[in-house]
Parts: sequence; structure tokens; C-alpha cells
Amino acid sequence: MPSGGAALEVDGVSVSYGKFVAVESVTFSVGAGECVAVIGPNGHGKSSLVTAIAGLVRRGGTVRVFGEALPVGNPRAAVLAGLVLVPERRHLYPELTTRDNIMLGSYSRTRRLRARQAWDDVSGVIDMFPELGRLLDQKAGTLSGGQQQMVALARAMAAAPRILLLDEPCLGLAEAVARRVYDWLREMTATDMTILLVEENPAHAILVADRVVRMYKGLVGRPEVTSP
Amino acid sequence: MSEFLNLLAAGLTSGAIYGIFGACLAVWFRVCNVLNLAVGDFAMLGAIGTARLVQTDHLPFAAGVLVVLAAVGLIAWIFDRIVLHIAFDRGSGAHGIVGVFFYTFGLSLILEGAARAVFGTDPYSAPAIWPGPALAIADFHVQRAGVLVFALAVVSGLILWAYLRFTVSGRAASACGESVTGSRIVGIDSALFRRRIFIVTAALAALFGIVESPLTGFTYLSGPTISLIGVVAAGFAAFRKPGRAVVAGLAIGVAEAMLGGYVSTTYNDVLLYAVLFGIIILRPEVLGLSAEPA
Amino acid sequence: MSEPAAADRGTIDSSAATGPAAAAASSAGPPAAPGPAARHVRRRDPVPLAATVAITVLGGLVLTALNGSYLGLTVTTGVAYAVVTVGMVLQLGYSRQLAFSQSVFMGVGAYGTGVLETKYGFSSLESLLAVIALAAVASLLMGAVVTRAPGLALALATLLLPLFVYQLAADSGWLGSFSGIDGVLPFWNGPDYESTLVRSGIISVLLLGLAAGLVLRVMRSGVGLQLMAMASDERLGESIGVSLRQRRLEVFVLGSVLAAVGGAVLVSAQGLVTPDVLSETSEITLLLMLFVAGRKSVIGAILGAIVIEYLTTSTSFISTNIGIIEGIALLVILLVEPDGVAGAVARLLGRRTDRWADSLRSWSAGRFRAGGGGDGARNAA
Repeated sequence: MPSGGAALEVDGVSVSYGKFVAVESVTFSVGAGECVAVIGPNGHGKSSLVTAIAGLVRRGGTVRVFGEALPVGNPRAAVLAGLVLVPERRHLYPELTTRDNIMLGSYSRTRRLRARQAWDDVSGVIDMFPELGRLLDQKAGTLSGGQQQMVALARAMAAAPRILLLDEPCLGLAEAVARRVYDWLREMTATDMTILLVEENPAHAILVADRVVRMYKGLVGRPEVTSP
Repeated sequence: MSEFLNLLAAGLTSGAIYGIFGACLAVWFRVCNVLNLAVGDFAMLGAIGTARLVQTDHLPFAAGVLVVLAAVGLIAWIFDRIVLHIAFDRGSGAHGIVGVFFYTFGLSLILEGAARAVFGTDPYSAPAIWPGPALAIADFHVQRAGVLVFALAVVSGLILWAYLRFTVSGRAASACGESVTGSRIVGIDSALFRRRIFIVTAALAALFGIVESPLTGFTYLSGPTISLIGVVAAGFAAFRKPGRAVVAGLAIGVAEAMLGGYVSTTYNDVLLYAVLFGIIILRPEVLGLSAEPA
Repeated sequence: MSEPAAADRGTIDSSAATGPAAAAASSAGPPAAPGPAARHVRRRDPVPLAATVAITVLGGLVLTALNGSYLGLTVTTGVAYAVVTVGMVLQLGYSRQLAFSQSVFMGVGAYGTGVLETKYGFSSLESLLAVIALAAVASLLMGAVVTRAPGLALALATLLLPLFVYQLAADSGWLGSFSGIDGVLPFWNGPDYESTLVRSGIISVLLLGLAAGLVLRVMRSGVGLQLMAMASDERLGESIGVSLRQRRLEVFVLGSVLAAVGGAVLVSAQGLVTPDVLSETSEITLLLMLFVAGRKSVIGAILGAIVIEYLTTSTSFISTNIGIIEGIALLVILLVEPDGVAGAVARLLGRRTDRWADSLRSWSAGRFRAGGGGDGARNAA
């Protein structure tokens, strides 16, 4: 739920791949505790925008997290500032177990030497995804798409985020699994978690978003408030 | 019986080298999906460099070893910062299976050429760390350097295994090789892991060269063949498991020694390579790869 | 949800693909069958034959001009390597079949020729045909097994091949041990050494021309497209009907046979074969010739082989420091231009031809407008 003050400020952010401009001078903000959905057709810069915010690709412009500017192209700084991305296509570590995949979400913050101890520190995230409890020793590459998405979400939560970026969290998932993901997201929106959600399907987005930002050809329109 | 034990000891000694090179290869491949075909050349530089500094330039042994290890580490750092950084961090250059082999192949050529220019073509042996006659128990003899090499291989293999198995850093290193994007998302600097592990494994290979060279001597050409057997040992560990690579290397060394002792001293290497060739072609699943159905 | 405000560039296009234009298209009948004039006419591709002729003629002229000098021998040796690298273009460059067995088959060709001529009295032509057959059978048998192995396994296994084959050759008294076999006949004898060198060199460039023509023919055919598909994604290739096993085997056999022909050319030029021809050093040299010059270019492979062979024997500085030079050259190529010198040239030429094409289009568009195009202009657009 929104609680006032900007958690995330995106100011004049641009992303180019060679001569191709994927995102052009995008400006908007996300209030603390707010859920904002970025919607738009495929290939119009939504994923480029969030990966740039998360520091995975170089960008022009400024990104501020609770008032502090993030350095360009430095995902570790973003994570330490509390901004965590759940990427499109998940990018798990297929040969590592579910437990290790989740534990590594806390990599930037942990001071632990031993993996077991680091896991013990974050094992509480499993309470949000009880279906993963019996899969902890299974290699992530052998899980189903829906299970992998749960692991990706759990990994993100293990990083103790203040701002969650989700890029198409239901891409390629069955309807039942997508509903499960959105049920979890709704629970998150009831907390003070700030969420920026990229979603191609507007019907999904309005289930959880307080506001919607449309992107088209790398540009955003005026943000709109969704109906409750 | 004594002949068998002596062959076994010789095989375990040479196998320890293959094994630890295999372990170094496996660990680094796990981090960045590139084979270090120059690992044998780092060993060669360790052996020849130390021999030269200590025997020709009369540096104290410990100082000579430290200088050589630092030099090898520096070479590895420079190569990573220039070549691998451009290739993998900037995304330029050849990738895929070409990238797996040929960057470090180029490094191997340079190191060989440089070693020839600087040190010449003569064989070199570093001074023994544990000098003295071979250890003897009844008819069983084993060189002291051989004991050191074997012990060092076992210890190093255990450390590398434990690092990957039990530590957060080891898990993060593995994650780098499995998904660069997934690693960056959680703040793992895959380039830093690649660089550090390259430097550590290069220095480890150099150390092994120093310890082993009193037994066999090294020339500027010694690197590639032991690199290749190390690659095979790493392959039998699916390019992922340093402990298994050490075991595979030991098995290859023992097989080489037994073939030499009981079959033919002239053709033992030929037979060994032919056997390895056959195993890889006919049973690629031992490398963690699946063959096409017949 | 309210309609969005329009951005400076681009608004949400609410007219969907099922608009009036699409409706009009769907209401039209099925397309009419093509008339006789529109039937596809299969034209013979002139490039492979032209390449064969050009290489043979040019190479013959060059060698004639060199008149049996040491440089002529160097060029002929380079031609021998070029026959091998042309096969490697197809095998490693085009199909990305990472098999490091070319030096071994080069040795099969060289030793086969040496043995057949010196021990069994075969003529040059007979021994050439025999080693081609021998290499074809050997590579077929080996390839049927080795090409089942996935990429990394094949690369590893074939890296081991030169190690034990070299040892076998070096230890074999019948093959002359380290001294090898000498007294091998040139392809075409002349009245003196110089003319023999020129004549044999002409046969060598003819063989090179044929090899290049054959490889180009494959690359420019439907089979070449299948090889490209396989190289980029084997699963995708298989899903569109490419027979992976068959193509892999064909590429392996063709590359190996050409390597054997290269070995026959080499030994005929030098009159001597030693175990060095099938060592890992020889394989390294071949790889460098391919990568530095351009692993996907036939012309690049030919020029690279000849130029690098010349450079390695030209000055003592280069031959002494060849390892360092080769290593640096390989790294620079891999980082800057993975398609080698030929790739860089092709890109530069391509940019230039793009500019020329743009200029030509602008000029011709201007001519149409100046000529009052009317319907003609609409049709041209």
C-alpha cells in the first residue's frame, strides 16, 4: 500500500543498443509502498527499462532509490540499496539446488563463509512458497516453469528487497500458476513493499497495480491510476 | 609385487600432476565456461623460472618461488584484464565453442614462445623442496618429490572441492558459470570471480611445476601435453568437479605407468592416448555429454 | 481505463490488424496460379567453376613467373596447406565441426603417397587416387564413430589424435622413423629441377582450384544452407529436416579427404615426408592459417595459408619468434575480427557497396522523378 514519498525515481532514463534507441528519456516515480505496472506491447522497451533500472545494462539519466542515486551499470549497488529484480526468464542456476539458488539471493548482504549458515539466515522465505519446501535439494534445472518462477521470487525475497522489480513474472506460465504468482503479489502489495511490475497483459496488471504506466516505442505516456 | 608398487608410485606422481591440472581446469571452467589450455605452460614457467632465479641468479629458494608465483599471477591478471575482459565482459570477439578453446590456446602459444626466447631450449629443474634420496620401504621406492606432489594434489583437490561444496563464495563462483545474468542480478561479480580463480589456478599450476620438476625436468615445450591430459582429466569430471578430476588424473597416471611397465615402454603413451580417445568418442557421457544414438 | 494521452512520437495504434485493409484482403479469392513465365528457372551457379579456373590460371601464372625459385617452392608448399585449409573452411568455419584431425589426414596423404611411390612403385597419379580412396574410407569409418560425439567431446578426442599418431609414425621403422621417407616423385617431371617445380606447382594449383570449387559448390548449395542451419542451432536444424548425422559425416569425410590431398601435394613438392606433418604443431599451424585469414572464406584460407607459410620461412626473426607472433595474431583476430582478415575486408567492401547501392538507388529514384514517372514511378516504388 502507498505510504507517501518516492521510493523509486526514474528521471530521463534512456537505453540504446548501438544505434537502436530502446528507451527514450523516461521519467516517472513510484511511491513508497506503491505498486506501479508498466504495460505495453512486446519489444517497446519495458524490459530494457527495468534491466537498466536494476543496473544490468548501461543507461542515460538518473535512477534514485529513496533519494540516493544509483551508479550506472552496477547491479550490486542496486541490490545493496534494496532494489531487486526478478528477471524475465528467471535466469536461475540450473545445476545448483533450489536451496542454493535461493540462498544466493542474499549474496550481496551475507557475511557468512559457509553456505549452510547463509541458508539458515534466509530460509524463512520458504514460508511464502511452501510448495518449494520439498524441492530444496532438487536441481533448479529440473523444476517446472512454475516452480522455477517461485524459486526466482524466493531468491529475490532472500535479498531483503525494499523495491521489487518484476519483469513479466507470468511469462510462459500456465493460468493456474500465474494466478498463484498474482495472489502472492497481492499479498506483497498489502505490505510496505514497493513494486514496479512489467506486464504485457493489462488484465493481469490491474489486478495488483495502484497505477499503470504505458510504454510505446520506448516512450511512456502519462501514468494513470487504476480503478480499485 | 615391488615392481607393481614402484609403478604405482610413479603413476600416482605423474597422475597427481594431471589431476591437479584437471582440478584447476574444472574449477575455472565451472566459473566461466572456458578451458585453460595454458595451465601446463604456467607449470612450465613456475619450474623454469624458479630454476633460473635460484640456480643462475642465486636468489634464495623461497624468494625465487615467491617471485615466480607473483610473476605468474601477474601474467594471468594481465591476460584476463585485456583479453578475457574484452571477450566476455564487453561481449566483443568470438564466442561459443571457439571461445572455449582458442583464447587460452593463444596464450599458450605466447607463453611457449616467450619461454623459448627467454630461457632457451634446455631442460630445467627447480631445486628440490625436500632434498634427499628416495624413500624406501623394503623394495618399494618413492621419490620425495613424488610424495610432495601427491600430497599437494590431494590437499589442493580437497581444498578446491570444499570451497565449491561448502562456501557461499564457491556457490557464487558456480553460479557465474551457469548464468551470468542470474549472477549479476544478485550482485555477484562474475568477472571478478573469473579473474581471481584464473590467477589462483595459474599460481597453483606454477607451484606444481616447481615441486614436480626435480623428477622430470621442464622445457619450454613441456606445457601443452600435460595441459591436454589435464583437460581430459577435467573432462572425466564433467568439467565441474575438482575432486573427481584429481581422481581421474591419478587413474590416468597409473594407467600410463602400468602400460609402460607391463606392455611397452615405447608405446605406453600411444596406448594411453588411444584408450582415452576411445573412451571419449565411444562414451562421451563420462564427460557429462550425451552421444547421438547409433 | 481511460485512453492514454498521445506521446511526442508514436501513439497507441488502436486500429488492429483486422482493419479495413485486412478485411478487403480476406474477401479476395485465393491467389491465381502462376503462369508459365513465372515458373522458377534453375540457373547453374558459375562461381565455383569460375573460382577453379581463376585459381588454376592465376596460380599457374605466378608459379611460372617464379620459375622454380625457392619462393616458388614456398608458394607450392603454401598451396599444399591451402588445400587443407579450404577443407577446414567447410568443416570448422562453416559447419563449426570442431575436429582437430586435419594434420593426421594430411599425414595419411603424405605418408600414403610416400609409401606407395617408394615401396610399391606407384606413379604420382596412381598414388594420388589411392590416398584419396584411402582417406575417404578411413574418414568414413572414423567419422561414423567420432561424429556421434557432441562438439566438446569431438574436439577433445581429436586433440589427442595427433599425439598418438605422431608417436606411431616416429617409432615405425617401416615409415622411416624420425627421418621419414624421401625420394617421393614430383607430380610432373621436367628436364631440370626448376621446370619440375613449376610443372608440379601447376598440378598443385589445379588441385587447389578443384578443392576450392568443390567447397564453394557445397557452400552455395542447399547442402550449404543445411550446414549453416546446423552450425547455428543443431536442434533447429533437425526440426526443419536437416539430417545431422549424415551432414556431419559428409563434412568430416570431405575435410579429411582434402587434408589427405594437401598432404599428397606437400610431399610431392618437397620430395620428403617426416612425422612433423602429422604432429600437433602442424595442426596448430593449420588452425592459425585458417583463423587469421578467415575461417569462413575460401579465398581467405588460400591466401592465409600461402602468406603465413611464406612469413614463417622468410626471416629468422619470425621463425624464431613464431610462437609469440602466432599467439598474438590469433588473439587479436579472435577479439577484433573473429572472421579473420577476409571477414574484415568483406565488411569494409560491404559498407562500401552499401554506400554505392544507396547512391545508385537515390540516383535512379531521381531519374524517375525527373522523367515524370507517373504510373511508372508508382510501380517502381
